[in-house]
Amino acid sequence: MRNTWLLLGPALALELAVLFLPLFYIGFRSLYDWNPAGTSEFVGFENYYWLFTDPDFWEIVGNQLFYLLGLPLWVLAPLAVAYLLRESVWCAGLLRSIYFLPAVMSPAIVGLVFRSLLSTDGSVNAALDGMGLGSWTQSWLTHPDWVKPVVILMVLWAGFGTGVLIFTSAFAAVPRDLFEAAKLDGANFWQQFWYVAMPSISNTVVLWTMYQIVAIFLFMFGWIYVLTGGGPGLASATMDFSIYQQFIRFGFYGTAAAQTVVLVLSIALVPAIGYSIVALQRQFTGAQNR
Amino acid sequence: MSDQPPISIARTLIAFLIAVLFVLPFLFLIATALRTPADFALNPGGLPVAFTTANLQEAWVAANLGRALLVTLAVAVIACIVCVAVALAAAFWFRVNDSRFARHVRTLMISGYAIPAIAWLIPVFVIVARGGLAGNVVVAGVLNGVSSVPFAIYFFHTYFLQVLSKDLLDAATLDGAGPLTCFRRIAVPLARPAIASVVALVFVWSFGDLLIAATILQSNPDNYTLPLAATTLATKESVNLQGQAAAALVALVPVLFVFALAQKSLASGFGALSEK
Amino acid sequence: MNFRRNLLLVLLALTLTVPSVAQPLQPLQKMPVPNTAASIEVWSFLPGNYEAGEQAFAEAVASFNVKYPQVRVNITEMPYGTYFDQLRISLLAQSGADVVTMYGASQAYSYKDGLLPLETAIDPELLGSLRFVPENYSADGHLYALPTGTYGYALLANNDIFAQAGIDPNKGLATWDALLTTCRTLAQQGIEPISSGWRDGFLLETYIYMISSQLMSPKKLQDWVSYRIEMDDQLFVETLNYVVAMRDAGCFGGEASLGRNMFDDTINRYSTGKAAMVTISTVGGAGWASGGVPNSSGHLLPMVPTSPNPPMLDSGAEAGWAITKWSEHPEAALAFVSHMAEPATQAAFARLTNVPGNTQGSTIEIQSDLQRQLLEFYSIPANHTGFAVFPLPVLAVIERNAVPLMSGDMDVTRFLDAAQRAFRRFR
Repeated sequence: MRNTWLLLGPALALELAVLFLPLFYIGFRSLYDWNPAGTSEFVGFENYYWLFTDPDFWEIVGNQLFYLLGLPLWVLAPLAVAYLLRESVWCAGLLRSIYFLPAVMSPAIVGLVFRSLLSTDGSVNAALDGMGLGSWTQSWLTHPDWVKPVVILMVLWAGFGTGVLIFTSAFAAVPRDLFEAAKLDGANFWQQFWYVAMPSISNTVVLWTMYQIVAIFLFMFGWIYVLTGGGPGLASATMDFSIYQQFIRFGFYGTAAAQTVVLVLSIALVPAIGYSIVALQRQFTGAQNR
Repeated sequence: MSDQPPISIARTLIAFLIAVLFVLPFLFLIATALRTPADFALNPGGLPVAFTTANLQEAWVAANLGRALLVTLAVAVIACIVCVAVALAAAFWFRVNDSRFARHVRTLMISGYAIPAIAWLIPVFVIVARGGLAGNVVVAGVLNGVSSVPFAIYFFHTYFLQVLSKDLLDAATLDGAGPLTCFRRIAVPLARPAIASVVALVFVWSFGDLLIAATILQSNPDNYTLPLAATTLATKESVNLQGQAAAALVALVPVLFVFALAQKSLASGFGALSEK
Repeated sequence: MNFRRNLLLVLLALTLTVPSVAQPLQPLQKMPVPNTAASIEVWSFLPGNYEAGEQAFAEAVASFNVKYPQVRVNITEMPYGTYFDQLRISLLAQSGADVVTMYGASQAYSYKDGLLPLETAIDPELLGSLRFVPENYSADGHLYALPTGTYGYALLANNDIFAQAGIDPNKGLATWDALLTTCRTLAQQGIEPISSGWRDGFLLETYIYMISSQLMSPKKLQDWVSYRIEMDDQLFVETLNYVVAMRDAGCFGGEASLGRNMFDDTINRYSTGKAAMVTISTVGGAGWASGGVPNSSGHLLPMVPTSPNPPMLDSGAEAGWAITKWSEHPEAALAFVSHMAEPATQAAFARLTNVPGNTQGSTIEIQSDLQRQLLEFYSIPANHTGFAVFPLPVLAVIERNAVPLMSGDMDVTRFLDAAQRAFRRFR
């Protein structure tokens, strides 16, 4: 049995070395005026003081929370469409494949495509102009009121197909007669959706929601970096983008380290929140069943 | 099936209209890459009239896309090998060892998924750079692979729970097979569909990665990946929109290929994402 | 297995990362180039900036190889947008090019842990013959980049559009108030007065350089070069108020300019007749912009009313050349950097790029009235710039906040607060 460690060892070592131990290192460095290319001086919590007194940091935290407003959309849109595609749709499989296409694409490339589509002199505005809708043209990516909704829609575009896929397989596991019964009771599409479909796959809905929350903290770099560069100002910047900027562009290594620590700690909170929601829900449904 | 409800025209129409939103940007991309700059300038919102492959050729040369394609493939393949090799073994270990301790370790290793890449990447980069390994394709590949290990362990473990029963393992052990033999002879062949899913996913993720490439590989212009080459090309003052679109198109073709080949595997992999 | 080895290295490094020992900064010394074969890598964003840029660099390398045939020079063109990120990563990795292009002293200072001080290594005679050297010394008293070339910010006016609008550009751009009136008149007629794009932020930097230079007396310039004043100084408040005044007079066109870039949107729009004026930085750029508008004339940005200076323009070194600490052939790199600054090289370079050198009396072959006009501007003795002094983090903040400032979402106070915070952190 000794050599079974050969099975776990490599994965454990790699994860510790690459994913976990560096977090302690960055935590340690967040207490320094860190200069990876020179000498670093111990400064205690000064980096955190800089960070928390910097209005830019709070603007980014605000952005991150604003993006969460997209959650109902990111969850309900694929859910509704998965339900719609469940039956009576011609070529449903092909459509699901088409929706799924963005999931395989590089966020950087998606960002490039949408950047040229949405730029001031880009195709969307030109097409609107061409259709006589000149007053609808917008600075989609450089107006602070527009840029966050645009990013939210981009996230929807990219994650929609995956969501549809997941909800489709969840629906497949629900007994058909449940829907049939509702239909016989005279429930219309939306009533069936709200009162039958949603509750029957509530676990999947909660998990997909959690996944989207985590994704908003984790996977935004490629898009923001290419699509908006965090702008205008910092109106669309996310934490990961901002840490990269602090570190690479500005050379403010210590603050970047402090911000990283804050990001990791706040993500650690999300599953905690999620678990408590799930636990509460279980308790609730359990009480109902009793 | 006979009890299949009839096709609803309204539903189909809505679904197809949504599909248009997913197809249009691609058509736009292809059209932009293939039309002449003059044609685009004349009518950026309209249909292209004059076509050319000059943009593709120019972008290919300006951003060294041929080399970038090879580098990206190397990164993605290394990532797949590293990720599948270590995660499959670890998942098997977790299937065999179900002690409390093992379960805690499993939870820890799967929770690595929620660590933002930027958090570990910066310190890892600093250390890698001190070791003189910045700009190294193998390092970028390994890091891409490791970043997917938590997900892969979760995926393989779930899969083993379904296909690898305790009875089967016990029978093999009775026959005198050690854990390593069990792994090689039984687990790996059984896991083929799961391996296909993980390979497809890790390939797609590492092929599209920008963050690791921008950090680890940026100091070595010879080792740019496609996303990195395409985005830096886009910041070049002399390169027009058509050139960017051309670079984006080149970067898309391989993943579309994988998509067409391994759609089923991809789908089941993505499905697992939210079943945690 | 390769990854095992890498893993070991990572683990090893992780346990060994104690703060490294400070190495005293040793300026590079003069030294001969060995006769053995060497190869140096040069990173620059410049070749793409000029029409015959690649050829100009190829010729500079060829003439270098006449003197040093044993040194192979490989020039890699880097895109500007990610150039400084690439340098940062290179600095942290302590590897990459031997020679890098830099804009100004403070940008170089941001990377001082990766660059060699050059002041004692460059031939004093050559150094003495170059303009703009003093303002390219960093605050720590070292010269990290050897300046070459000359730029100067001026306005180009489309005489046809001006005629159409009934304005004589010479009168309409003579004084600050006349400029604002001209802007209002043009804007009323639906003409974009100055071709503008704020998205990349470079145009705002340009106007900050232009106007703050006007406002800097020689003493104030000295204060700025030595960081005795900072971004919260009244000088910059005034500068930005003037930029905002131009904006409010409609000089920069409508909201669409927020989504455009300075490069290349402003020049493209001017050269296709979509704006009455454009801001240009080099004679070469003027030639490019006026390509589609032959009837163009050059103008100084009118002096702001509170300027203590005679009519002048913001003018300084086009770029600088720095040598990295990790270069394995610093002698060859030094020889190359010196070669790029030498009068003969700069003269040859100027012929192809239309960028006048920064050697005394350097000029270009004049092909048009416009060029003659601009070169006259360049030779105004009162010209100077504080451009080289802006630290990179401050510039990054200015670039980032250009759109909010110009759209009115951010006022001058908040804008300068953000810039000052970056300045403080930088110091």
